[in-house]
Amino acid sequence: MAAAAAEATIDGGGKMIILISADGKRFEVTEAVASQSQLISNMIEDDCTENGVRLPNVDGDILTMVVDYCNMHAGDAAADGDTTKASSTEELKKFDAELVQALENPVLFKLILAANFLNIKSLLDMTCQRVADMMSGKTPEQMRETFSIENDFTPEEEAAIRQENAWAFDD
Amino acid sequence: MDADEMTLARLPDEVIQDILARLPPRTIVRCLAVCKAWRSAVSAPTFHRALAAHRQAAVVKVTSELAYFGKPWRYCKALLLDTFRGRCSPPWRHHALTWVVGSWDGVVCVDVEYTSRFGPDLDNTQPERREREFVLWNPLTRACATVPPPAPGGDRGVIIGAYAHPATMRFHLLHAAGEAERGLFAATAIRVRRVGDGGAWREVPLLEQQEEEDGHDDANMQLQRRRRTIIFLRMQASQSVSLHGNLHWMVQRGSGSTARLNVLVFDTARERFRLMEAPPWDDSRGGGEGRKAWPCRGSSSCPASASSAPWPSPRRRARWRDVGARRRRLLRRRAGVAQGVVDGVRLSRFAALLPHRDSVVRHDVSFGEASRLLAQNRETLAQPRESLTTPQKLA
Repeated sequence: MAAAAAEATIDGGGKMIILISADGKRFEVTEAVASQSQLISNMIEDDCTENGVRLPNVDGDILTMVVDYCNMHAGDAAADGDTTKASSTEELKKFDAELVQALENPVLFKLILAANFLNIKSLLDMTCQRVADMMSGKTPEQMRETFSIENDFTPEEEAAIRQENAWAFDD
Repeated sequence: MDADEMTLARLPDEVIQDILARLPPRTIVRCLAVCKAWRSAVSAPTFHRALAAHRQAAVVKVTSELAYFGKPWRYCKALLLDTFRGRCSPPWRHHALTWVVGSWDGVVCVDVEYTSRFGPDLDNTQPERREREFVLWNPLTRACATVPPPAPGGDRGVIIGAYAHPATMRFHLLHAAGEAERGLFAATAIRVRRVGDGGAWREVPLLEQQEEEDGHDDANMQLQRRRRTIIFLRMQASQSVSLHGNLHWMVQRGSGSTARLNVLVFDTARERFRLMEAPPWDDSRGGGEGRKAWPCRGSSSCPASASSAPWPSPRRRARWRDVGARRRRLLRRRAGVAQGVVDGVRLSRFAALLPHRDSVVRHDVSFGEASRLLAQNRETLAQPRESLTTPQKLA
């Protein structure tokens, strides 16, 4: 076990992996950065990353954001106990907040989709929380408007739901 | 795929559920009315699992507040329910004794006794009046209901448990009448009442045919005798543990040398009592009446329908732990509440633990037509307070 762990830290920084987006853009990242994605981490374990990893679900611009995010957070896992880390934690938080705050809804959803597909837990967590924050305290009408959702209830059905759960709808 | 085409609706179901589970309870319920897809997302069993990952258990700390009005002194006592900032006002401005019985299925039950007098009445103008009722409160739905005890006035019985009926989700109360004796409560009659519908208390036979199943190694004579013995519950017998839709209590049958310890089980679907063998324990720590073992809710491996030998493996037995007074008090309120939440909170008899997680899942627990919505007190917007509406009959 110990030997394996040591080996991992040695070539963790060295070996490069190529990610290929749906529109053919190529991104070269270190194994440590890429393995934040559980999907890619599994592929690395199975040794099938040699010809590059094709990600047919992820656009180039979204993948740019994901790679940026992973580059910023690569320190997290690798540098445990590093004294310089404490100062960078604040920076990291700021980076995260700015990343999600600035996004338009469709891009945010695409990022969620990518995080879900690549299985990057921290990114998925952050983006889902952003959407939840946008919903919080809104009425059904406001939610439909914010997320362009079509109301597929009949007026009677909707009235019944509101009546059954009156406590949640009175302001 | 185009940027304009990407909408929330195109995210996978599990991601939608993950997002909705992060919302506060009221917003979750509002999501039911947004569209059909969200309604099914919120209603799915998997959603409850997603919720469990995000919800912390919560503590409701119930304290009381005294205020003085004019002369002769009159007292107003209110219940303050912290965390949810609820408030219970008494029906008339006199003293009220309050005692938090416990919380079951997300509903807090408070035993309130109103008296027309507090302390020595120097003027001695009025005869003392006493009235008692059980106030039920669901912090999540802000619904409240009051239930009178089976025998108004001189009733000395206790609420021993409560539950939401597994099929109808209607809230039920279990009440034991009897006598207090040396820290134990000798139950003579147990009654159940469905809250709402103008329901009445119905007596549930304590034990029927269950004796035979249980006493496989006992002689007939002994059976006959035991059938007549009284069941002792612990005083403040709300120490029930809910498991698999059943309520459990540690009880003592008989007294003196023939006393035996059992687990009394109430099947909430069939409204029937039965007895199980209590797990064996180490008597070297004192034993006697002050039994210390108490079932933890973690013993979910206990079979739901076990009528014989429910404690076969040492592993299962180990789950029955010797617990100190403080810990026992915690377990009594509601076992299974995250310890981290409880730490640092000094619990008195005025404190009840309410698993917030459960109350979210069980937002359909109902008081029927007895349910009243709490009026929200808008005085302090930063910390909204809620007041329990005063019972109609006494107002």
